[in-house]
Amino acid sequence: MRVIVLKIYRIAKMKEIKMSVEVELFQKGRYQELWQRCCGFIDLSIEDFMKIQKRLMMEQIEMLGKCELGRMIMNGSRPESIEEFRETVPLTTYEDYAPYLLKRRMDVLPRKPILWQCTSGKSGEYSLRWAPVTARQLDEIEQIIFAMMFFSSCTEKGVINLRKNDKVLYGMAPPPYTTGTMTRVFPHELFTLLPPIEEAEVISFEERIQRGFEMALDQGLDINIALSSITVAIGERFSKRGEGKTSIKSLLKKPRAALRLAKGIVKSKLARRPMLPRDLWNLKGLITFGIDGYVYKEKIKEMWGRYPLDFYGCTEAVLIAVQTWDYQGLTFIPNLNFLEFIPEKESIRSRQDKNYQPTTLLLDELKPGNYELVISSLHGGPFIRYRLGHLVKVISLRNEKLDIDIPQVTFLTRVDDQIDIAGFTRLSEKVIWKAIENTGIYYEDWIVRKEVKDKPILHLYIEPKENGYLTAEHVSSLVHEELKKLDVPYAELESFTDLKPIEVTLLPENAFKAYKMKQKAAGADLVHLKPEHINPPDNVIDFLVNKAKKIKIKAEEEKVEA
Amino acid sequence: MNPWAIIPFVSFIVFAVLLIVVIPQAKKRTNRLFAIFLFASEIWSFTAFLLLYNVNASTQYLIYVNGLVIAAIPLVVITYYHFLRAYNDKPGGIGVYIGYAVVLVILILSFTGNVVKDAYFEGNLLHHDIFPWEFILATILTPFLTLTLLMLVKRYRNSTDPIDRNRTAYLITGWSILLVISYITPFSPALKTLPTDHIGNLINALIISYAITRFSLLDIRLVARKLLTYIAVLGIVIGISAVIVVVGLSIFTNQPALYIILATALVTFIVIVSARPLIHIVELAIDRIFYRRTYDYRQALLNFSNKMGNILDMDELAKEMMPAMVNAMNITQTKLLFQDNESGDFKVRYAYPKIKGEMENILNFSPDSPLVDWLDKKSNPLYIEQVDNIAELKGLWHTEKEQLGGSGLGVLYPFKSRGKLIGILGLGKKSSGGPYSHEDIQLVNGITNQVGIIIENAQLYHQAKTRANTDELTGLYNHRSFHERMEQEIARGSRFGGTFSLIMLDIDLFKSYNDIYGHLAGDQVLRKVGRYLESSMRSIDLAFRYGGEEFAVILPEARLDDAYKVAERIRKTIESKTSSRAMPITTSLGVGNWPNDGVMKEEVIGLADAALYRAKQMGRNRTCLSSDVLKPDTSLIGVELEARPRALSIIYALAATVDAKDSYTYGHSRKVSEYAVAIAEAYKLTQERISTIRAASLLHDIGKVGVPDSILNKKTPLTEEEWKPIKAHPELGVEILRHVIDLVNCLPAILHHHEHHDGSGYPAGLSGDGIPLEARILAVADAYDAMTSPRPYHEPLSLEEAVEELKHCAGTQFDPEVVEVFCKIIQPPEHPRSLDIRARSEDDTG
Repeated sequence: MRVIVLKIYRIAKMKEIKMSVEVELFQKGRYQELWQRCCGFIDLSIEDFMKIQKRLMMEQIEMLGKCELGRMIMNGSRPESIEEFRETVPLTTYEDYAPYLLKRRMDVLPRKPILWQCTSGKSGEYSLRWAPVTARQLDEIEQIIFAMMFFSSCTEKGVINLRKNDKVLYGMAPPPYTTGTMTRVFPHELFTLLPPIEEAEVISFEERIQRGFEMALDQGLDINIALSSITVAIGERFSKRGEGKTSIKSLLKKPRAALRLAKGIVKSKLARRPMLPRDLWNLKGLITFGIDGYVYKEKIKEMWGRYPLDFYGCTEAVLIAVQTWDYQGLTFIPNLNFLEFIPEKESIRSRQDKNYQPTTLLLDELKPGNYELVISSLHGGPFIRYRLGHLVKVISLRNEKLDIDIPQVTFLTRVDDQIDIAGFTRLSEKVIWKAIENTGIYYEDWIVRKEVKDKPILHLYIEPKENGYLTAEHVSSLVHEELKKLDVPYAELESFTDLKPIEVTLLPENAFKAYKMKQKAAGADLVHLKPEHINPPDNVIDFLVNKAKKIKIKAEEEKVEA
Repeated sequence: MNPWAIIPFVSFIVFAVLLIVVIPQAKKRTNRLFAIFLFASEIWSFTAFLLLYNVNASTQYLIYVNGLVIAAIPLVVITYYHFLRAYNDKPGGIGVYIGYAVVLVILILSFTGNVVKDAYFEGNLLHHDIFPWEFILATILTPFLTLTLLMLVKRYRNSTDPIDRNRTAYLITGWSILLVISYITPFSPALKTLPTDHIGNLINALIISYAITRFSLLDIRLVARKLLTYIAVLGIVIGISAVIVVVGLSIFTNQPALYIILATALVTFIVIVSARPLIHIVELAIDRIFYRRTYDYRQALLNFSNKMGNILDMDELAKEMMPAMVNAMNITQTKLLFQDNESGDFKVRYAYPKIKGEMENILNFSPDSPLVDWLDKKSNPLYIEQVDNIAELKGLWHTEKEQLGGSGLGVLYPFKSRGKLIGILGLGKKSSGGPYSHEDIQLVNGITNQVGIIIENAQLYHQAKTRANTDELTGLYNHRSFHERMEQEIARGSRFGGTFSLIMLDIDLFKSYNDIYGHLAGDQVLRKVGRYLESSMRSIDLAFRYGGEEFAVILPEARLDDAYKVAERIRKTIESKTSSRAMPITTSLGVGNWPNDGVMKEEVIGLADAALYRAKQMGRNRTCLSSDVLKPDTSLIGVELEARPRALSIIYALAATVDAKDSYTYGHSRKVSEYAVAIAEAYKLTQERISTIRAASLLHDIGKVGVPDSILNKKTPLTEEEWKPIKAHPELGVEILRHVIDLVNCLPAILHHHEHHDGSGYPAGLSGDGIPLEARILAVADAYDAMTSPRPYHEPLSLEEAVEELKHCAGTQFDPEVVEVFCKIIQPPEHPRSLDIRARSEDDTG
């Protein structure tokens, strides 16, 4: 008996040792300290923000000077100031790191990583792009995860509304994807995850979402952290046009779920509209990830009763900026990456002339406008003056409403994912998506590419959900009108040249599902199950337009898709 | 009116005032619930007042109002519980709902007459029959009271913030008073008829109000102390008054009781007026109980704080302040960090208890550290545990965080003067392992607020004192402090036993170095030697500039052989660090020991100096022990004999090289040497200097090896371009010879033998006495031989013509005194020496 007690004590002690400071503070209800620790960075002055950036970068330079990768990228130099660093070290791309990182070589890195994460790679060269994450980076990320959760649920500065054992639906991609890294540091012990982590780890991603949803119906839901598309998909289950009604019926076996559904039905009936997630749950917090977060922002608010908190991150930088509780611009994080910005004009010039080295600005030198982001990893990460290929828009130099003295940004697009139309405008994935969404047509998915016949056109391939009374011409004119509203140069194109540079092809029913099945059968990774929205290769278009209709889709497949 | 009604009435008034204050600030949930608690208490006091006011009220009225009072009691408890849940950032929870439901039930039952069965007055005291409701109520309320206490204790234990702990401690005190006075007294037979329960609630509410508005100002211990003090004094006063009344009534039985009471009131008034000293005595006694063993230290620290203004010495400040702080606050350690003059880093200068090993490695903050920046900007203490919670400190390097974590410190205090950070005080963690109390913080705050200006004064004083004891050029201690320190070491050795050694060090041929490279370069050498000395000795050793190019090192607790090792290390370091492009810097060292070489300061210095001289005699660049001085000189002779032929052979070989280059000047060097030595002898110079002049004369033209033969043998006047290599020959000569350590003494004469008395010569343009005497002598000897020897560009002059020319140029080209001496040697026939020279010269030329 004594042995068992001792064993339990030891396990308890080990857990105690492993517990992070943030978790301990949360458990002890020391919310004020916790806020300061995780969210205090939004109170920094721009001068203090820059001091943190520069100081941590100098620490990183020290580390880089002692490792093979650092010496290689910095040409053996050891800059003694940030100015010297920016003058002497060239800008880099993934190709500079590929020989080391694709082989996941730890011996060349500034610090030994604790895990590796990946994202889709470069077609034809490498299927996945790998990036290491150090233990110190992970510690800092944990604080930001807490900050995001607090921001998503608070109504005023310093007020933490989350409590222990709040129920969380966690719908991010699993490791080794970037959002999976966030899963690793997510404080599981504080919240009730739906489904529990032990269960979630042994089932597929889709099953996890399905199971989590069922459990939320039964046990309730306080926080939803999921990809924007998942959040929308769950919401659509409730709408009339949703396809998951049968599975809801099966849940009626559970009395608590039935009660919750009854409440939802009453609420929706009273409001004379289809049932929505907000009829069932009164969420404390909602965090979404993905470029479509912006597109679906209002839709998610309508469905879930609150705006999603957006954040900006990627495989190489993990987390770059987060939204605050006004759900407007994103605020940069000072201590995860050293940030530099290439003005858009310089960025374009450097892409046209490969030998041109564009000049960069620091955060305190920015003015509202568009910039390409360059990051250098801190805390022993590998990337040095790395061009992420992301275009961000600085919308203001400070957040007046929340009194945040740090420039506010929004993510615009990947630099490569822009379609240039007759030199008039560069349409991003985000703008095109928003235009499609604003038309109000129901669609499964879409792709677009620039095609040049007698003149350059934007060719949109879209799979409508209610194929029957939609025509390509109708969709084309709807999208065209919406694009004109969203993008002034696009509108000017028509007024100046009388051009209507859009053409639409309606894809056959289940074209995207067929594509997904094909990819699954070929053993593709999660990130490659869907085609890229912008400029997909010919074979993808050929498949969607011509071959997809010949493939039969199984009923179960459809159900899971819903 | 029933006088007992005064208690709930006073409570009612106080609660009303509190409510008025709190309601406007009731936007926050905590404040709102506190207002609700106050309102519930207000209801309780008011109903109790209504109950007690009229002793003649009807039984029905009493039963009805008593029912309200009974319902108000759980309401107060539940609202208090609710308020504390909010204070702990917790939602009301199911408990609150149950509590309010209970209150509602009791209220209904009271209205229907099911709680109070009977109520009546006996005199002014109220009796009521509420059985079994007193027990039912106690059973219902006990869990709420217990949960409240648990919540507060948990928060107190979890919190590390002294301010938060202080506030929580207030609440625990308030809760304890409420429980003791309000919920236990009704169950004691003696008090159950009295409305004293309101006093407990009133005190609780007052304490909470105070904690909420002023929580950061007072420590709960302070409150408890004050409370105890006043209760004790009140008890004493009441006791005295009661005794007077009892005694008065028993003695003055005939007097009306009113007189006795009035007289008692008068006496009590006098007691209260004179109670101030009593309060002080009671306070001291209670302080001793509270602070136990740290009491005396706290007093010492406070006394220190008072006399701090008189402290001018940093050492004294650290010595007085640091142990007192450690003991008064019961902490593990203190450290004082000050800015290092050279690097600007904040480094540990004082530590208590002292740390073994290198102090500065433990903590070191560069001036650009966010930590220094933060302490400079703020005036608050920085808790090490909180470092990761402060956004401005996110720029700290990992190594800095590790340093902080490993330092064992719990908090850093900035010392400021005129708003600028001048020092950092580090306090160790509490020995008991707990967090600092609010009073600890206040104690340190009180001291740090004053100490900034004291430190600045002390730093200025320290700088002034250091300047008085320091040699400005090298930064080492000066001659005066050398003698002071020698006396201290001898005194210490005499008192405690032990030994120490002394190294005397002299830079070899320093005068020559100065003459060749100038005094500025010489100063550089002195600085460098000072630095090398410090880097080569142990941390407990002390280095001094004894004077000129002579240094001294005192090595406490070092025996002679140990000191020899240190001396050799110093010598080798200095030799190895010399730049290869400059003249080599070597040193000779002598080592003495106390008490082996004598017990008097002068004896030790004398023997170490003698050993140094012996090292010089033995060829320099070596270390000699005091014991070597007593050895017979045979070894020395051997060394000298060995050294001299070697040096001379080098000189002759080099001289022959020059002479061979220029056929016209064959034998010139040797003749110049003869003339120059004759002049030097006439000047009665020392043998050493004469030897130097001899060698310099032989080698004065060695630099001409770099002059093209075409120029040397040119018969027509030289052009400006051609003069350049000619004019460079003295410097080139020095360049060639500087590596030969035995010839270093000759270099000044060689370098400056073309300087002119009026400053028009080369290479340095020196004039008058600024030209070394050796060079002035060499110039005259060289010119005379040049004039009297055949050259490609002129015929030789006769002796008289040459002398005439020398005299002509005396005061412009040559030193007139040297010319005069030379003329006396060379010209007067009665001077036998002159003839010798002439004869020898003629022989040679012939």
